[in-house]
Amino acid sequence: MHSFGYRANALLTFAVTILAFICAIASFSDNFSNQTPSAQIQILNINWFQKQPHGNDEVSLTLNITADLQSLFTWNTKQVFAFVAAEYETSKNSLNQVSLWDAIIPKKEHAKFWIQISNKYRFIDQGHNLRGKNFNLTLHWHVMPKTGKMFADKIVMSGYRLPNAYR
Amino acid sequence: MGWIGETVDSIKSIKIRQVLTQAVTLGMIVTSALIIWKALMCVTGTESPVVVVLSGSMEPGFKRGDILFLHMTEEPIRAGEIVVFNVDGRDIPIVHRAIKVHERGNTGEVDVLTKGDNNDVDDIGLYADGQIWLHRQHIMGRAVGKAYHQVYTYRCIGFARYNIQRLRQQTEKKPVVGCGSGS
Repeated sequence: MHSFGYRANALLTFAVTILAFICAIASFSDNFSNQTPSAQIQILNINWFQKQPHGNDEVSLTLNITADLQSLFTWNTKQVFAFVAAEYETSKNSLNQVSLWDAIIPKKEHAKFWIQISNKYRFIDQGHNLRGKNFNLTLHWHVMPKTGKMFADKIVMSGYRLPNAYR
Repeated sequence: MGWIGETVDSIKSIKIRQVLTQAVTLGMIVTSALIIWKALMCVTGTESPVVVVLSGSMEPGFKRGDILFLHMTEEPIRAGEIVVFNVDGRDIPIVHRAIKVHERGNTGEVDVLTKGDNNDVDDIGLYADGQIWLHRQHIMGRAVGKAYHQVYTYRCIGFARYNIQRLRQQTEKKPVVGCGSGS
């Protein structure tokens, strides 16, 4: 009962239990942070809007994205993954979510930003439903912790509309 | 070490009844571990409630050796969720993020396209030939939490499995673009 093997075993078990407990507490502390993120997205230009050879609509946009996600960072945050998705409804699909741009924000200092880019991922529909389509641009963020539970939330900005004709 | 000698002596002087008792006790311990694992599978709704990240395709968020906790519900997949999925014909499941989602109005079926955060291209190259969307049957679960990655033994096992898989795929001349994870 007092040999090296027993003692090492007891010590290791205790250490692992304490470690798991600390990780759980670290994750739980994330619930108490006060989060007030803000964002604005502007469509500066519709670069082009065409129907592909096999029938799907595709549009290219230039976006102006302003956001302040600094309040999402806690001491247990590894990074924040933010992305902008166009969300709309068609006759066949009750929901379409197409990610247009994403970024990994590793530090709090980088979380307040202004960026002007054209869409990083192609905005392609399943079909040809995009003419005159009203859609929302939603900024989603996923807070990835150093350890524990991941949180995700979003800001929905509505009122965007695609042109009625291809160009 | 004294306890090895003590154990050997105790084995030499053992009687049948004691042997059987110890065998039954061991069996009970093993089966209760199995019961806990199965219960965890029921609670989380996935075949694999805990997986290990094998590749760097989700860095810097998930590093190789990180442990992920999965959960699966009936709710449809939405953009941004980190999903673990199996591709037909590949053994190792992959942990990537959904970037495009199309949900059918009438059936509720969802088409999903995924991409690793650290990859430049989406996962179409990883899907089966001719497949361009993932569906519910391919997806094992959503990642809901992670444990710190200094779990060294898992890291070694993970590396070994990943390298074996890579070797196998290279000989089959299939592209390997930021593969995934295993349990």
